[in-house]
Amino acid sequence: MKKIISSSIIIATLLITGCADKTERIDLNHDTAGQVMGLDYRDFNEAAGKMVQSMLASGALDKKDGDRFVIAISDIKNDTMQHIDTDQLVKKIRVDLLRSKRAVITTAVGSDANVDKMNKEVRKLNDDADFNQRTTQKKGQLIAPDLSLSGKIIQKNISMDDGKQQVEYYFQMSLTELSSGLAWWEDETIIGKRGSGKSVAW
Amino acid sequence: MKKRLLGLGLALLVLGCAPQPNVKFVENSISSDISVEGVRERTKGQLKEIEVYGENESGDYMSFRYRVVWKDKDGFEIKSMSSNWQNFSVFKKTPYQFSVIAPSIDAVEYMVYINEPLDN
Repeated sequence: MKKIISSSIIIATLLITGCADKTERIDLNHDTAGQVMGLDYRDFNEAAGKMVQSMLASGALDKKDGDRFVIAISDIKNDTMQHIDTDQLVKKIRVDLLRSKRAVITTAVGSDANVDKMNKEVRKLNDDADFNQRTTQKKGQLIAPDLSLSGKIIQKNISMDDGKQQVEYYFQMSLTELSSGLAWWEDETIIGKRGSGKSVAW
Repeated sequence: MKKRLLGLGLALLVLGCAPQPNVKFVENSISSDISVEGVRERTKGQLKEIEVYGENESGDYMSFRYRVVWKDKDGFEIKSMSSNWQNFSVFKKTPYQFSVIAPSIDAVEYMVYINEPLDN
């Protein structure tokens, strides 16, 4: 009897594990999976790519002497119904702007998520006798930003006559010249999705 | 002489399949739907900008994808989001163009790939 029970358990386990869907890695270069009503990495890649292309093409980052502008990252507001870390968008933009060699990003000032507190912390060592004062960061060395990048992601849900749901996502960004307060570049990318009214986009 | 003619013929065949030296169709099946007439180039600031232009020669509204791979003077690829596939759509029998700016001042060479859209 015991043998029958243990054999049944083994067969049942094998059946369950054999039938379970395999976990697959996503091929980021050729993702043929269907769209989701929420925002996924494909949407952030598309929005960030378009924003960087637009910014570089606008000429706003063309400094006369061929030097690079210093950009501070200001607030990127998430005005959607989803829990989004806006760094998913901002990090991609920062990386591509640095690679372009047309701008550098400061982590000394900016919104909380984009500041490296160590910039300030290490300067406290200037009065600390435990540290070799020749190796500490001196006052007056931090570079102030020329430009500030800010933005917002907006979501709008629309119920359609046929019972379907339309979700519109607006990615809006501005690049402000800090000495004048004038926006040198602005753009908006819209990503729209339409699906079942039962789908929940938050 | 015969060899030279054969070589010339082969070269013409190869060139005939490629729409432009810097543009490549990933799936040859789209070559009957879309033409690439040329690629314009200019420098904006210190960045190279290209514009690919052509026509949707089919009788249908069509969607395609493109990506641009940029390389530096040593032939090394410069990674950027402009190397991700981007969608574009064209109405039937209508010209199209899309422009891409180089991701870095180091980018000197490029290759444009045009492909069918993904089915999602």
